[in-house]
Amino acid sequence: MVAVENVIVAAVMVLALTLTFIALLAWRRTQDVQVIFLSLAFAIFFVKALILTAALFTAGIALSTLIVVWGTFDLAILALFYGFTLRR
Amino acid sequence: MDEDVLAVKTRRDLYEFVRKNPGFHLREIARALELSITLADYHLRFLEKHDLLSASMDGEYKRYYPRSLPGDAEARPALTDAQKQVLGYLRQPVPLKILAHLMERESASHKEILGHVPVSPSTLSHHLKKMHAAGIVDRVEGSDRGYKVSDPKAVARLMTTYELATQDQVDTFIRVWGEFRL
Amino acid sequence: MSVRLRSLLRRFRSWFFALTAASTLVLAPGAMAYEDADGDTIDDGIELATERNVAVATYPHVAPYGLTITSQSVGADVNDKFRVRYEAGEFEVEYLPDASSGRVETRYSLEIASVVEWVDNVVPNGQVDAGEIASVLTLGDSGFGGLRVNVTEYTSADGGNVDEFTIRSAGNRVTLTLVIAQRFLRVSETKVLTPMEAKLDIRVNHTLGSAGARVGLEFAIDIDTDDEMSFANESWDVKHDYSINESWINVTGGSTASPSTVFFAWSNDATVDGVSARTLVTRPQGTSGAYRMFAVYPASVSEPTSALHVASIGVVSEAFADLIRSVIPLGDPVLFVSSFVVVAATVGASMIIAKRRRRKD
Repeated sequence: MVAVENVIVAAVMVLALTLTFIALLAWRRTQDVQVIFLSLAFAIFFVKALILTAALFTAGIALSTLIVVWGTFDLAILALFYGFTLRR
Repeated sequence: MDEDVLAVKTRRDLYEFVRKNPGFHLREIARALELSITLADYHLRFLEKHDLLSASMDGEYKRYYPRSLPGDAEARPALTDAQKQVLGYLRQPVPLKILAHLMERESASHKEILGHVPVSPSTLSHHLKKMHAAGIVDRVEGSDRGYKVSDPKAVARLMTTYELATQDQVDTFIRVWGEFRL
Repeated sequence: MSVRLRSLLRRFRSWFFALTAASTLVLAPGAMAYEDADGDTIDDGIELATERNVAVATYPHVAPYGLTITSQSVGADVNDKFRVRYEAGEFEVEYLPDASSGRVETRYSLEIASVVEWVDNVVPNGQVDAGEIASVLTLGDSGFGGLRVNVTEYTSADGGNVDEFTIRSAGNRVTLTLVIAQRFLRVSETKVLTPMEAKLDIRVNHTLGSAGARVGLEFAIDIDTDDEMSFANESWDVKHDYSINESWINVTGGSTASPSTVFFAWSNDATVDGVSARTLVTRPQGTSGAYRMFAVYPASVSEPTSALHVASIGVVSEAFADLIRSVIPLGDPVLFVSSFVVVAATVGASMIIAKRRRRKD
């Protein structure tokens, strides 16, 4: 049986990394400091994927712990996206 | 492609052609670039007006020659900070469209510009405010309230000499997320 | 590499390093050291997590001839129990899941019914056909009844408890040795005994009567009529890399979603005259829960024939599956890396295609 968790986490990592770099390029191009919010949000996606990869390769991490980790990161990401919409 | 941005591109092609083939007249230039005589004439006049080309009459033909800056041959001169800043804006699709639109006319109101540039009013205000703060556009007060380009000749020179916005993936990202506001 | 890409990489060099460093730091614990202090090739963490509590009782108190082994899992979300009973040449294996698990109890009994001699003469095809078995000696109760169960207990290399029982049939024709350990126990180069089974060494010592015959055993298996028996060429232990070259019959009860499985597994080879060779094992034949099967051992040159066949009786433990899941990581480095590469390539390709499309516009 294919451990599909591996596929999903790897894919998330790639896309998160790609979007982080695109956002960074956008920041450099527009010189708009608020675009950093976006870059940070995608970077957090990447960090989240990193943590999940670590969990994948260690063992015995309880579901409840994973949900807390996952939820905290998602919260941070969404807060950054929302903060971005508040800009003038 | 947006017609104002197309105008910028056409002008660049014309400028390049004249630079490489000085002394051709209107009909030859138009034929070489597959433009209508009217359109070629319009753009060549623009370039002439902004001191990028010079023209001289040769009997019944008006021939065009490039106007070079001192020490210019093939090399591009070093850019001043102000020029770099303008170039920075010219390399972003939305500011480019705004400037291209403004270059075609004396001035334009916020509403008029909005009709030509596909962004939300608040995004347009955001860009205009930034370019005003950078000194690239000026406000026009009075009955014809709006904006105009501060130094059209400088902008025209930059537009015809340098690579402008290519609308790549990063630009799409900027445009899309640019609209992501309350 | 294009100028653009090179300049991009240059600009984000520091970011690259930061991210790579962070990744390595976070992933390093994942490349966990595999610990195996007792050298049985089973990770110590797994051994500890899956250790079971084994209680052994023999009866009667003086000169015991029967035994009961109860093995209980420890530390799983839902623990389970299994029981192995022996008396008079018959083993009974029961899987006793916790009531809350929604699984049913399943059992089978395995009797060493008789010693047989097989001659491939009726239909010479290497198969056991009707009329080819000369049932020589009935065992079961007459062979084993009332005979002593000898018990030894010892501690394995990693501190786990091991119980060993030896039963000799009348005339020492068949010797059964049952071994149960509370932790994983390596019993040979090719087999690790799991805590969910008991090893059954069957030794046959028999002088052949018929010319060209091979000695074997007949087993009688009884199951509940509600349960299903199936045969496979790869036992559970083989599928999970704890053993090699084993077949099994498993008896399953309950639903397909929550089955309860008990099994009898055996090595495909037996050792005769000190040489390991293929054993001929027939598929169980029978109906209504009563089955018979034969294990015919390789031909021998010496007299008496001395054969050793290693088998095991046990259960498929859900508690074990639970515990192992919490100890064994889900990570598959090859799959992870290849997925990463595939997705990166896809993203890269999409960028190139989008760029080409834009250039055409």
